[in-house]
Amino acid sequence: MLDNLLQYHQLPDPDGFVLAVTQKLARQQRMRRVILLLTGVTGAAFGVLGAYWLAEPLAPVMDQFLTASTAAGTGLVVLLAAGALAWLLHDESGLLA
Amino acid sequence: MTVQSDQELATRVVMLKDQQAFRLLVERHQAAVRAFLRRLLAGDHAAADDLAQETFLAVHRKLHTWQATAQFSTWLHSIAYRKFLERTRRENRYQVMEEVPEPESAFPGAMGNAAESEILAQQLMALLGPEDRACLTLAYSVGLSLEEISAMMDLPLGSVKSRIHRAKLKLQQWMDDHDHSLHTNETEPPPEQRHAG
Repeated sequence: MLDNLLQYHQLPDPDGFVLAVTQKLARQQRMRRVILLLTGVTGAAFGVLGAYWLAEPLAPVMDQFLTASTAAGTGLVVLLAAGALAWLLHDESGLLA
Repeated sequence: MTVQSDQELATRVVMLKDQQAFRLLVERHQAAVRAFLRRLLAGDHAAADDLAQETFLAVHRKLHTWQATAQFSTWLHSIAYRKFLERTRRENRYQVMEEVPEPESAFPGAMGNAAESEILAQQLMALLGPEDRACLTLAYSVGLSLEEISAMMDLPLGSVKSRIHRAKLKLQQWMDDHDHSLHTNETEPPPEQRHAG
């Protein structure tokens, strides 16, 4: 008798449960994207600000060292950094789909 | 159209971020998880459904850690159980009751109504501690072996057996006290055939 009673007699209907889970998941992912975007923009803003502050003192140094070859090297480094960043955030870009 | 296995769906979720595959996993397992949590929460359906939602969100986050050597449903139940424990510890509102509300019908003697039997089974869990509820439900409702329960709950096998035995004695006592027409002595541990090895 007790063994029978302990078995499931009635399973819950799906009703709106699946929808509620998927909506909650979508909300969480949206929030994650917003946080990523905000931290990214904040980081970029501070980067630009820093570059602006450093631009004037560094100008004489840049004039001295910025040749065609160093400019190409810098471009390559920036390109590689952008590639690494894209690879790193690949998972997050998948969330946009 | 072929039915995809849990492993195939999980792979699609992890590798392709396939939300439809995750939706299918939720559809497939939601009833079992919710029924399990309703038992653990002694019939508090709203809290059980909240916890079931949290369980599936955690599953989505941790799906890449699932080892296909364990059944997906077993892994899912272990996450649900951990969520239940977290909740009882966090809210510190869990309490063992000495009595459960009287069932409306002549209870299990006339087990004609599945809904009433389910409600009674859920309410009876209020008489037990959280680990005992889980042991009993995993053994008799979910149908896991004692070894699986021991691994899932991180308890020694002997402890699982004694918890089940003790919990059944307590419930049997309650049933005997509330229905004198019952004269059963079912206090054995779960069926031997479910023991692995």
